[in-house]
Amino acid sequence: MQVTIDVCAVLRGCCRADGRGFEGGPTEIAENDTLGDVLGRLSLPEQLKWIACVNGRPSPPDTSLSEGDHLYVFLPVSGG
Amino acid sequence: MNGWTGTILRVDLTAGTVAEETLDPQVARDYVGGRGLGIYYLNRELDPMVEPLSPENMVCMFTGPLTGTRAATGARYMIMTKSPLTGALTTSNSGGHFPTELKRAGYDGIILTGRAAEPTYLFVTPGKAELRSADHLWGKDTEETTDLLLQGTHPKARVACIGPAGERLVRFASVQNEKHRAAGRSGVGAVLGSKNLKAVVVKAEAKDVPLHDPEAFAAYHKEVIDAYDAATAVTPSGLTLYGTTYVVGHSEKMGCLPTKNFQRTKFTPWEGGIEKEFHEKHFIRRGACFSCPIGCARISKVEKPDRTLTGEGPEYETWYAMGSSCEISDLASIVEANFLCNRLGLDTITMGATVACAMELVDRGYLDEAEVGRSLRWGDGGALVELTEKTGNREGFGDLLAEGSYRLAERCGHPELAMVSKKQEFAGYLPRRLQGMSLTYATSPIGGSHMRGDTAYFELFGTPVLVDSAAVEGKAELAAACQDLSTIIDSSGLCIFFAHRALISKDAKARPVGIMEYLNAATGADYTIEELCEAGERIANAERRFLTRAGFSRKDDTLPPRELEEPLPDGPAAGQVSHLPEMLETYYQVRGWDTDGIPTPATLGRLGIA
Repeated sequence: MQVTIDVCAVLRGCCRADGRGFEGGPTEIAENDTLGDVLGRLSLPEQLKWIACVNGRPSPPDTSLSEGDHLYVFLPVSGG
Repeated sequence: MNGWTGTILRVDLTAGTVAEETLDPQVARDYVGGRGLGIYYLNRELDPMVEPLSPENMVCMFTGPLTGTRAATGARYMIMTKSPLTGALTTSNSGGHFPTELKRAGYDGIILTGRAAEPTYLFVTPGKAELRSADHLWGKDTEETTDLLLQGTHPKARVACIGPAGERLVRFASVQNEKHRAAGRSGVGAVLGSKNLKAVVVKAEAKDVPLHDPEAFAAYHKEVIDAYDAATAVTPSGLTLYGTTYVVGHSEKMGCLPTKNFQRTKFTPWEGGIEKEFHEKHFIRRGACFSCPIGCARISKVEKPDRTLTGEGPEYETWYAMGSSCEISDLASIVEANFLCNRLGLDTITMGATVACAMELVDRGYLDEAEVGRSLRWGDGGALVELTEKTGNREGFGDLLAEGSYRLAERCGHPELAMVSKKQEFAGYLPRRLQGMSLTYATSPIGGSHMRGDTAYFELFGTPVLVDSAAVEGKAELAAACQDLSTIIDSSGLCIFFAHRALISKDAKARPVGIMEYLNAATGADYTIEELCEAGERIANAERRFLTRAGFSRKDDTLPPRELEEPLPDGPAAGQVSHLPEMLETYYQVRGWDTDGIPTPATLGRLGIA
């Protein structure tokens, strides 16, 4: 199934173990993939305290995903 | 005293006199500084029913005990008075270097009363302050004014001044320091204009502020900076890389970006963020306030066919108000309008929000474009620029815009289309999306501000922790905690951007543990965390006391019908409305206020508020 993955601008360059970065966008995942499975493949640096939301709500790694879900990963923000 | 200078300047503009006054140490400890001292003096000396633009209104410009001390982001000051936009308080806050200069000149703050007979400016140096003629400055914009004052006083002085908008009593005129830093909200510039006070210029001699325990202060500061450096070692903070422009994409993705005058949240042109385009086309370099490890300011430019305009900004709030809320995606128009606001001395948020309101009034047939004097359609960046200039000069239709969105919408018979609380235009967070923000907007002492209790840090930013924005339970407690925290940040002289990230407890109680460490080392006040939290509560209740004496009550703690009744049509919170009425009851109980929102005698007595 397909979900959309968005990663905040600051994190994009930190994703993926090969250092290529990740721009996000529509992504094919397995039917039984959890949020944690998908995020694991992004290889975010462990020392960063990122936050993941599914469809705008903060969600734990064991969250089940559905076709069309919007995943958004960001670092805590200051400002406004 | 340490941290505090212990001296306040009293300026009677009617009499043309300046005098020094000693700050009572117990008052300083109880009210901390900045915003706290401002409300202390306003409650003590100002009739809350005063006409805001009359000579009887008074203005308090106060630094905090950490201003100018090299505490991280210790660069802020407050301007407090009765607002000509709202009739409530102003708590306008600005940074840069002017506040540090005032503190190092030996003054915790300045209290202004009366009205000068002629245009005047105040020149402050250590041990001496004098009123001088500003005849040659009247009519000049803030950049010209600043340049002329530096030539006429000292090239390294710091200047806070009003522009033409303040002189013409635009109800949301700002006070600009170092040209681009704005005490923006609620019309503080108009109050200075009504007093014929064009500027305050300060030149200090001291290089630092005396501290109670310099070694403890330096040790704690090192701990704070080391922790910040470690946290940003993998990647710099978004604020450092992109400024608050970075927040646009985040807010859009989270379904919180007010779009089309708060009718919806999805703004497709900006769904991927705008930081990349802004930095490619408009960014020149970063800037920073005094002692700031973040450096969020953006020195920017707009290329015009015949010249290049330069200035500072925009900030997130400006992007929302002049951009998505007007459906204007053309960044250049927004940057140009922002520059105009800085030169004319206007609050960018209310300016943009008032244009957005006018666009909806035209769209719905409640306002004739013939009266506007030009077409006014969603997305028209040219209209934004033209109307901003006319507003600052009160020219044509700009004379009506200069009254703010509520009075504009009311004149057109539809005040419900002004996105305000207490006639103060909202900041860039949809109340329906963030239940806590809807409560803080409704109960803020200045109306629809994000800075006087920013639950968005918890509901949108995840700093220090993320809580469910749709939940109602716990939001009364969170709103009160954030409001009390904001009083301590504003009273200490710190910036919320750093304090929320690095100087508070890592839970929803938002206790100012790090601020306490800085304050105790700087002042020797020996606050416990309970005492400092109580000081925050005291200041919040003192502000509420001012409002209730000015006639505000539960009836004013509300939001437009759009937020309370119209389900959000799009985004992750589609279908949601604000649950303000449910939260308000609990909030009043948490606060120790009666069911009409009035602090009870027991609450005031417990906090020592007369």
